[in-house]
Amino acid sequence: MRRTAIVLALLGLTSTASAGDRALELFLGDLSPSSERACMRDLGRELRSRDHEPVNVTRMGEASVRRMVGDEDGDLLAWTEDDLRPIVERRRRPPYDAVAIVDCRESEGAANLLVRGPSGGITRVSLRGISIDEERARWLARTLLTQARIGFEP
Amino acid sequence: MRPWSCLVLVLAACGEAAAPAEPVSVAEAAPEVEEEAPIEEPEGAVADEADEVAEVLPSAHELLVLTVGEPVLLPSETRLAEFLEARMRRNRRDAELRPATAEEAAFFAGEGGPPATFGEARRVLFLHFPAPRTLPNGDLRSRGIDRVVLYQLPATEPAFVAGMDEAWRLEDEQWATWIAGLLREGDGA
Repeated sequence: MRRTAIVLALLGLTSTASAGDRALELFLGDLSPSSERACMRDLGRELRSRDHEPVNVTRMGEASVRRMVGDEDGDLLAWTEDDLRPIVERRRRPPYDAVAIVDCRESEGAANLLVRGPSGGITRVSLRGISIDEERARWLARTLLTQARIGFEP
Repeated sequence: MRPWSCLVLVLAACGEAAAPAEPVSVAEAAPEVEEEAPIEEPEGAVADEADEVAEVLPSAHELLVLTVGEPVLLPSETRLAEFLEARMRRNRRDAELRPATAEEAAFFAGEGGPPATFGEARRVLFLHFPAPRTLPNGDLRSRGIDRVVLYQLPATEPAFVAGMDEAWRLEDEQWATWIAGLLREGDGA
């Protein structure tokens, strides 16, 4: 009986993940002001949640992101696939599967989110006048992952 | 009593349902148009137009969810809309879900102000279905949803906008969960 249970448990494990599966490689650009940390903290927690398939997150701040994109003060929602190419194509390493740029300001009830998925498509999200608490930040993270996984092949 | 007043009374008496004055007049107008207009267009198109004129009244619900199809919703998209509506009812949300009228679609496209059909709705959510993909055998396949916009009236600037270069094709259940996350209760969204 016990042996049967172990075999069934192993079968369950193999049905959710294959041996060759890899984690999604996600670049996360954080353009939020330094005074607004709660939203990005909660969003990051959701990305690391075990409720999802694994994600490897590489995080960078605004100065680095804008330098790579070549836009010092422009609106992140106006960025195109071409603008994001310098981020996607890493030196000596495989390209990122997905790129997400976030500017989240919980004190203003505002957030901008841009996600480029593995196939190159971009989703742009903006929130205005909506309270951004932990639940909302986690929902934003799930929205981010929805786009980031479109076309992803583990 | 003036002659035209008598005519109005007779028409009202002939109506099938005892409804308030304004809806009755709209319902009566449609058959007259159908009888008098020459039948040049496909029958279905005339009927749809008449249905739209007759049925769309100002919303009496807190949340109004409007679908915009290019040019109209496919059966699979209609099923998704029905699934979302059933889920909202199950969650006891005070919501109405229906296709957008031409005026509502124009507002969604940035033309004009909020239509009177928004009625008492405090929130209006648009779901936009882009033109479907045509398969080699000629069948049409939905691309999914490529734009979601939420208005919190009376503000005419959207509170939420999601625009997808590639439409999202999620399972009905996934859409219901995602939209429920957007339309949370009690937080002003």
